[in-house]
Amino acid sequence: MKITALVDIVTFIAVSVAIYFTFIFAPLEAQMGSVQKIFYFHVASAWISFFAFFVTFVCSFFVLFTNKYIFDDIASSSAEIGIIFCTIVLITGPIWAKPIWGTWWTWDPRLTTTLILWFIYVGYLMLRKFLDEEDKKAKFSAALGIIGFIDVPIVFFSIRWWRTIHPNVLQQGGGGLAPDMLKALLVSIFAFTMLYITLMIKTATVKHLFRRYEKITSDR
Amino acid sequence: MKNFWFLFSAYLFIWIFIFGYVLKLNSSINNLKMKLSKLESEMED
Repeated sequence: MKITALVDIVTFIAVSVAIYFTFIFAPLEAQMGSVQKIFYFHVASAWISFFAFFVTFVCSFFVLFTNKYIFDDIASSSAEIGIIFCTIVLITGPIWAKPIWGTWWTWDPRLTTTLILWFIYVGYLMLRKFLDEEDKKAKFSAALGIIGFIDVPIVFFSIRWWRTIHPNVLQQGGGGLAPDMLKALLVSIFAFTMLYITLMIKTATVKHLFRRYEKITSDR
Repeated sequence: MKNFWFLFSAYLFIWIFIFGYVLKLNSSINNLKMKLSKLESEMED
C-alpha cells in the first residue's frame, strides 16, 4: 500500500473518531448548550492555521538561504492550507458568537488580529499570482511569509495582552474545561493535524506535477 | 436542542470548505496527470 493511501485512511479514521468525541463523548456544556460543540473544530482549525503559517515561516527562510524551489512549494502549499483553516475559524467563530454574545462580530483584539492574519496570507497568495518570474515570486513571497508570521504570536497572546471578551480555555489550569471536553479537543487537534498532512501531500503533488509539466513544455 | 441550527451551520461550513478544497486538489492532480501523459506520449511519437 502506498504511504499516501495509508495517510488518507488514518486521516479518515481520525476525523471519524473526532466527530464521535465531539458529538457523543463530550458532555453538553450547561450554559451554552449544543453550540459549545463548535469549539472543538474551531480551536483545532485555529491550531492548524497557526501550524501551517509556522511551516511557511520556516520554509521561507530556507527559500532565501538555499534558493531551492522545493521549499517554496512547501511554503506556498502550507500558506494555502493555513488560509483554508483560518477562513473556517473566521466563519465558525461568529456562528458561535451570535447566540452567546448576541452579535456576529465585534472588534475584539483576538478577532481583529485573526482577521489581519487572514488578510496577510491572502496578500501572500495574491503576490504569488501577480508575479510571473519564478525567482522573484519565491523570494518576495518568502519575505512576506517571514514578516507575516509576526501576527501569529500576536493573535495567540492577544487574549492575555489586552482586555477581551474572547474565552481563554487554554489558560494554565485548563480554564475550567472538563476532562472529557479536553479529551475531545485533543482528539480533534490530532484529527486536524492528520488532515493537514493529507492536504500537504496533495498540494505538494499538484506543485510537483505542475513544475514537471512546465519543464517539459519549456524544453520542447 | 438549544441553538442546534448554529451548530449545524458551523459544521456545514467546515465540511464544505474541507471537501471543496480536497475536490479541487484531486481534480488538479488528475488534470495535470492527464496533461503530462498526453505530452509524454506526444514526445514518444
